[in-house]
Amino acid sequence: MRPQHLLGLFSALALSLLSAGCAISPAGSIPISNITDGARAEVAILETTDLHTNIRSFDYYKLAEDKSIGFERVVTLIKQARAEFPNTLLFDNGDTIQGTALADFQAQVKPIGCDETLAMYRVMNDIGYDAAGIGNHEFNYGLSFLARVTGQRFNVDLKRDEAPMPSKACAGPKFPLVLANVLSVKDRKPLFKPYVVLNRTMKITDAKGNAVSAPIKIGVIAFTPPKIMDWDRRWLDGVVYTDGIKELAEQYVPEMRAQGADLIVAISHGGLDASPYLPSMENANWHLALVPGIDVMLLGHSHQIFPNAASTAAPFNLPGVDKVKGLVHGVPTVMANFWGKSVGVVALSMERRSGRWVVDASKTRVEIRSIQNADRSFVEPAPEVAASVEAAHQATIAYVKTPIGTSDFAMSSYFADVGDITAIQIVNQAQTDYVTRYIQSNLPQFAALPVLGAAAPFKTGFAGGNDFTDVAAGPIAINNAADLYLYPNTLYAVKISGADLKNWLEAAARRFRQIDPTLRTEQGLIGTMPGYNFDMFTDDRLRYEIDVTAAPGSRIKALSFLGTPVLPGAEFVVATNNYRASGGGGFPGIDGTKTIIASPDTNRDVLIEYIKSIKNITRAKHGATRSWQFSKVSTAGPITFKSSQGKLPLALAAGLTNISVLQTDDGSGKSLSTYQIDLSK
Amino acid sequence: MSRAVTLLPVLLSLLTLSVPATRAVAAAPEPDAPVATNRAAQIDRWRVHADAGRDEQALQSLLIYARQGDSRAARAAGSVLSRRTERTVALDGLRWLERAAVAGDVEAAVELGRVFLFGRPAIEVDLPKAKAWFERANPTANGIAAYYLGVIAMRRSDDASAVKTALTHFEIAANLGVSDAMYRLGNVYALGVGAEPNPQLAMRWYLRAAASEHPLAIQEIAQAYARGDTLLPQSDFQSSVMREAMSHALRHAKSLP
Repeated sequence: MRPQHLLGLFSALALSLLSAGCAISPAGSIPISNITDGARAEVAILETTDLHTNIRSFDYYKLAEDKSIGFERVVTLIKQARAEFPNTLLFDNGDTIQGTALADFQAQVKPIGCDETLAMYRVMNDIGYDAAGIGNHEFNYGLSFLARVTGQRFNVDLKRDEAPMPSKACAGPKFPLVLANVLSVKDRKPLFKPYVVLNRTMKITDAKGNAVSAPIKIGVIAFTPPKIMDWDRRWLDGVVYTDGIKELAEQYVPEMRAQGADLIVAISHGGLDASPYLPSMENANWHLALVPGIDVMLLGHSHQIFPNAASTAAPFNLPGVDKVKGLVHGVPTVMANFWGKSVGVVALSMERRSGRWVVDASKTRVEIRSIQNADRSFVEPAPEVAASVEAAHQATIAYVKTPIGTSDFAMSSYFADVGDITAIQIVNQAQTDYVTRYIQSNLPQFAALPVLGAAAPFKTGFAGGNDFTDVAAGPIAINNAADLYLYPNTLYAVKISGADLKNWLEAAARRFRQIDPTLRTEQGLIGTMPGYNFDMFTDDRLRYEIDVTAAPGSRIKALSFLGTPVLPGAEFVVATNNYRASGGGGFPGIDGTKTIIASPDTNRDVLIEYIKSIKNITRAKHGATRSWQFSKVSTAGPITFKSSQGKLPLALAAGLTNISVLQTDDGSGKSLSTYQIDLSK
Repeated sequence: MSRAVTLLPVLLSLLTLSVPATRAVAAAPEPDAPVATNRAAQIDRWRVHADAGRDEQALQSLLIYARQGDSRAARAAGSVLSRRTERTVALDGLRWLERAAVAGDVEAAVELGRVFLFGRPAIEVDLPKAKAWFERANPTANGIAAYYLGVIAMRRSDDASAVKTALTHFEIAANLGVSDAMYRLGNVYALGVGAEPNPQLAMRWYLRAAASEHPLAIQEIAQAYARGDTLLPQSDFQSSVMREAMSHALRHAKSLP
C-alpha cells in the first residue's frame, strides 16, 4: 500500500479529520495490539478485472478515441473511492497484460527488456495495487514472456518454441502476483505464490468511539480457470497443470488464518456454475464460496457485472446467489466488467468480536461503479496515466500505421462473385502457408496431403456501394488487414475427402440463382445466400467450373487436381477458419469432426505475418490465380448483378472482360450499379 | 455504451416466447456435498494430474479404484490412456472405457463415441463404432450423445429420413442445454435443410446459442446485423459489437460438448 500515511504523527482527532481519501497504510504506523470487542472498521475492497491492457480510452485499429473504455478513467474512480472510504485495498483480478495492439507491441513486436516494466503494470504501480491475480490471458504469450514481465523465474521445462526463461528475475510489478492452482510438472509446485498475507494498518473506531489505527492482516489467494490447459495448450501441455480450486482453498485458507489473516480475499478469474463440483470445471466459484473462511470473492473472466439486479444470466440466478446485494452463499462478491469500464467496490463493515475481526454482512455493500455517468457522459481520465504510457502509446500507433508490405494492385471484393480473387488469394496463400508449416513441424502424418486454402468475401455489397472490401494499391498497414479479414476468426484446418471437397464447392455455389438460358428477360445472378459463405479456392493445382444453369447441388463441373479428376476417396487438407470448420454455414460434412488444426491465431494475424514475410504483393503472384470459372453458356437475356458504381476498371484489371455496365445507378439509392455478365465468354 | 459481451443480455431479451423452454440452469447440488460427489471430484483431480500433470502416481490411483470396480475411475483412466501415442497403451485405455460403459457408466459410452468419432493419436476414426456407443449412452437424456448422433446423421444430408433423425437429435440436445445443437438448429431453419426455411426461428436459435457464448452463433448475429435481419435491423455498430463479443468467445472456446 501507499506509504503516504504518517498516522503516528497525528492525534486521534486529527486522524478522524484526515480519514477521508486514504488507502489502508502499511504496517508501521501506531499499532493497537489490544483492540477490544466492539471496535468497528469500514474497509472498501476495490476490484479491477479484465483490463486487457486498455490503458488509454483508445481503439488502436480505428486509431480513434473510445471514451467507453480505459484504465485512465478507472483511475479516476479509484481516487474517488479512496477519498470516500477510510480504508481501501485495491486488487486486480487478471487478464491484464493482453488484449490490445499496445499489448501485442510490447510482447511480440518490440518485446520489452528484462529491466523494463510493462506499460500496464507501470500505471498499476503508479496508482498502487495491493495484489493481483493471474487470468487465463496472462498465458497467451507463453510462459517465458509471463515470467519476464512478472519478475518470476518459473521452474519448468519450456516448450521448444518458447524463448528461454530469463536468467535473472526481471522487473515486474511492484505489487505481489498470486496464483494457487497452476503448478509445474517439473517440481509440482505452484508457479506463483499461492497466497500472500498482507500487513496493513487501518483506521478504526474503537469500542469507546475513538478514531484510532489498528493493524490488520489480509490473506489474498488467487485462481485461474483450469481450461487454460485447452486454451493455451501450445505453451502449457506437459509443462504445467492445474489443481482443484476448492481443494486448494480448503488447504490454504486455514494456513492464512494460522498466519494471522483477519480477512481473506479470494481473487478468482472465473464465474459461477452450480454443476456438481469438479477440479477441472471452468467456473468453480459457486463452490469456492462454500469454503469456510473466505470473506470476499473478486470474480472476472466472463466480462459481466455483478451484482446486477436486472441480470437474466443463468449464473447470477442460481440458488444461493443474491444478484441484488452481491452475495454468493452470503459471501460478498463482485465482478467489475472489463476493459476498464468499471471498478468493483465491496464496502465491508467489520466488527471486532471475540478477539477477531468479523465481517458484518448485514452492513456490507457491494456495487459496481461505471466510468459512464447517468447522463451518458464519461468521467474524466486521470491525466498522469496517459503521460506515463505516452511513449508506448505513440510507438503502438506508429506500429499500426507502419506499412508491413506493398501491393502493386488494388485488393477488392467488388467483383468477387464473378471471379475477381484480388481480395481472396492473399488470404488463401497466408492460410495455406501457415498450415503447411504447421503440418511439417507438428503433424507429419499429414505431410503427404495437399494443402489448399478456402476463403470467402466478407463484404459483398449487402448494405450498399460502400459495403465492399477495398484496399488500394500501395503500402499495406496493419489496420488494412482488418479490411481484408473483417471477422476475428481463428485459423482451422480440416482433413477432408474428395467427396467432401465437391460438396463444399456445391454448398458455396448456392450463392447463385439458377439461370434459365432461354429466358429473354433479365435474370439476377446472385441469390440470397450471404457472400461470406461463397468460399472459393485460388490454387493453380485445383480447377473447377460452376454451372449456374444447373440446380443447386449439381453445379460443380470438371473438378480436377493437378489435371486429374478429383475422386471421392481423395484426401486433402483445407486451411480455413473456425466458422467453416466447425459447421458454420451448414456445409455438408464440414461439421467440426474433421478438424486437425485449431489454431489460437486469428486468420487476420496469420495474414499480417504472411504479408510481413513476403513484403511485395504482386498481382502475378498474389492476385491472379483463379481455380474456378463459370461454365460457358449463351443466354437469351441479360444476366445481372449489383456492385458499387464506377468500378468497372477494377473488373477489367482483374481480367474479367465479360462484364459491362447495364445501369449506372440501379435506383436503390445505395450507390450501386447494375452490371451484366456475359456467361458465354 | 459500446462493446461486446454486455450486449448479450439485451439479445437475450429478444428470446421471447417462441423458443421451446429448456433447462436453463444446471441443477444445484446440496451445499453439503455427498460422499459420491467428493469421490467424483477426487477422481477428476487424479485425472487432471495424470493427464496434463504427467503424474504416474495419480494414474495408478485411478487404476486401483478402477480395478476395484469404480466405473468413474475406469472412465478417467481410460480417457487418459486412450490419448497416449503408444497403441498398446491406447488400446488398454479403450478397454477401461469399455469396462466402465458396459457397467453402465453413460459418460464412458459418450467418451468412447468421441474417441471413435474424432480418433486419437493411436486410434483411428470408426464412424459405426462411434454411432453405436452414442446410441448406448441414453441419447434421449444425454445431450452430448444426442448431439453427436445428430451430427453423424446429418452426414447424409441428401437422405430426408436421416436429416429428420438429425433434427430430432438436435432438438433433444438443444433442450438439454447443448449450445452446439442450438446452433445446428439455427442452421437447419436458416438454410431450410430438413425443415422449411424460417429465418426468425433460425435467429432465435442462434440467439440462444449465443447466450452460451457460442462463437459461431455470435458470428451469425454479427453477420445478421451487418446485412439486416427480420429480428435484427441493420447496424454496423451492433455488428462491430458482436464481432468483439465473438473475439472474446473464441478466446475462451468451449470444448465440443
